[in-house]
Amino acid sequence: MSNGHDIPFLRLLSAIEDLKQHAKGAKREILEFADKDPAKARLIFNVADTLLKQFAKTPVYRKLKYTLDMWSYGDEDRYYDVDEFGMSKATVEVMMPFFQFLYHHYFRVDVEGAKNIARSGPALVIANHSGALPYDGAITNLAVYNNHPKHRYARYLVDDFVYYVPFIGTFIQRTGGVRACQENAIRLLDHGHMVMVFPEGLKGVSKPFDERYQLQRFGRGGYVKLAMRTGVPVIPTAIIGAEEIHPMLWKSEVLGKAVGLPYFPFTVTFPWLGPLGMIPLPTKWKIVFGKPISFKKYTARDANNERKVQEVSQKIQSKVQSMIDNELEKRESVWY
Amino acid sequence: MSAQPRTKRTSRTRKHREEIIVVTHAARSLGGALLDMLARHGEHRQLIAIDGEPLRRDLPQGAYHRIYLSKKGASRKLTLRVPHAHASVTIVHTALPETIDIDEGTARERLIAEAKNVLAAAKELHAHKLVLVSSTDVYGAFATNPAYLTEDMSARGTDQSPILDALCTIEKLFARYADQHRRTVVTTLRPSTILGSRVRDFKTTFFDQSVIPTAMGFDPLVQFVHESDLLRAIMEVIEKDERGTFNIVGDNILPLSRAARMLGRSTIPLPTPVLSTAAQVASKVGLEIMPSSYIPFLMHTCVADGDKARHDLGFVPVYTSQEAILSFTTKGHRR
Repeated sequence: MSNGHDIPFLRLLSAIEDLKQHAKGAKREILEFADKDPAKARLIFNVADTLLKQFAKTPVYRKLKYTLDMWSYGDEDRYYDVDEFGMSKATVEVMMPFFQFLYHHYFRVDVEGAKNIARSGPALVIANHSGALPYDGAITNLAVYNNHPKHRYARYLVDDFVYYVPFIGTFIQRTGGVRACQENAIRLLDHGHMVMVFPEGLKGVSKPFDERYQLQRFGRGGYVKLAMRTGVPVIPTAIIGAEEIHPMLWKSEVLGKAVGLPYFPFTVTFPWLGPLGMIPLPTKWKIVFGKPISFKKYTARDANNERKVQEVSQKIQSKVQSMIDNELEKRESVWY
Repeated sequence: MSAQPRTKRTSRTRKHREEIIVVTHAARSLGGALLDMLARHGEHRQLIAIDGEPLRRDLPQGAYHRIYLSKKGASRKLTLRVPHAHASVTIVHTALPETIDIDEGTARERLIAEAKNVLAAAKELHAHKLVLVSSTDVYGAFATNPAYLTEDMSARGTDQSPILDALCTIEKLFARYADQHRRTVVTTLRPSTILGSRVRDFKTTFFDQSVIPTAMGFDPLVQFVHESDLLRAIMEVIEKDERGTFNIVGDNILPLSRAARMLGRSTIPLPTPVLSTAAQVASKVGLEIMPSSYIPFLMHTCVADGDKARHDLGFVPVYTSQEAILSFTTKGHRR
């Protein structure tokens, strides 16, 4: 520590080292003193102890400790904080490699129309939903993330029932899911997020295999109302390949109720293969982002016009359906 | 709130009259902290402290009267004790109980009786202002809650807990009083869980346990407000005439598990059915862990939006939820 005294940091280190030496010496001296005259030492130590305890009760000490604690609450702690909708950066980063593996190597996702992904500002992504387990949500999210120059992370709206299921509900919230309701969606868009909506909802996920790629009713048009109220563009999106990962033969709502789910699926592999049946089939995926549909011409008043909402919803639904049909025609095989 | 004043009385017109501030539950920690705050700001006011328990402190600018608010005839006693003839009277009523009763049904009755007596006294005293301190818990913890609850949403906590049912009823009673007495300024404040060095209630005690029970598989988002922020909000309401309901919350939200970790507490995750049984057994044995009806708050998020207080009341919280936690861990009585 003797050389390099002109560097401030090293000077600080050497000062600390000196202090340590002094403290050691002081400790030795105190112990020697206590050995020599125990009665006097006990008196002095008691007084010092009382004084310190009194000091600890003062607001000055509290303020000091509080300030030190706020200091120690550094970037490392902030890393574990959640954002205003409960998404945790830490959880997302932990899960990212797994989903990137699915994206690149398992489902081998092709993306078309990446230029239609909004560079910035709020946008609504409307896509078809399928596959018993909602892999399509995570993978489409990743498609946005991977194809955006600044790695935009979209948020997705999820059904209420998810939040009643232990572990799953918390996990989905930490990875960016937000409960689907107008208040949440408006807040998300107001704060400039890109929001993914699957208007088919549960009916889409629980589609039987022979109805694959046939869009179910697009809810009650909540997303259209949302777009009208906020004036954000809608990006129609088609997801090809996701509808074959869990070919559903039959679903039982009675059994589902027993295990706390909206339905209990019987797929080609589940529950026959046990937990292994939950592994999706490795289909080849293609995600097509369509041209954004502007909602600037609508006002919040139009959102109360039920007929107009249904009309627009129908139009967007047929747009997505035509995109799906178009891609299905071009596709040669489910597997490659 | 639909009840808008026809002629808004400002504090300027009230200057001529003497100001009396009645603080109920003054012997509790929040009441005591409020008395201190009031004594520090505003020497022209007269303070009247009301509580059934003895007030262990002096009150240089006012008087303490021992009145059990829940008892019959308390409103008459209160009216007699307040020299209201030439004064404008403000009553600050803190409704959320400090400790848990084993029988929540009885607690509910008591809370409502207290509020009714306060309102009856307010009518007799021609109170100028009523401030009710409730809680954001009145919204209830539901899976169907939006991420941020606002004041215009209905308080759905009624079905969840007798205590919350009492709070909702009290809020309704105050709102009805506001409708009937248009000249009285009635303000309801809904603070989230209060943390700080002084204020203690059953929710604070829950976070002060060495082991915090949680619901397995659930990790709701929680928010806190620092006690000094809440006191500032109450002062703001006392100074200004602002009617209506306001959420008083700190910025930022955090998962319950993270809050426990920041407090230096370990958590013990229990499956939900076991949790309610455990809470009931604990309360029978006399352990004050939490009211069993509060278990939904360990499962679902109940987070309120403080924007209305920010815009209408001009109240900006100084402490974020995280800072409130840190100031709670550094308080004097625990090292």
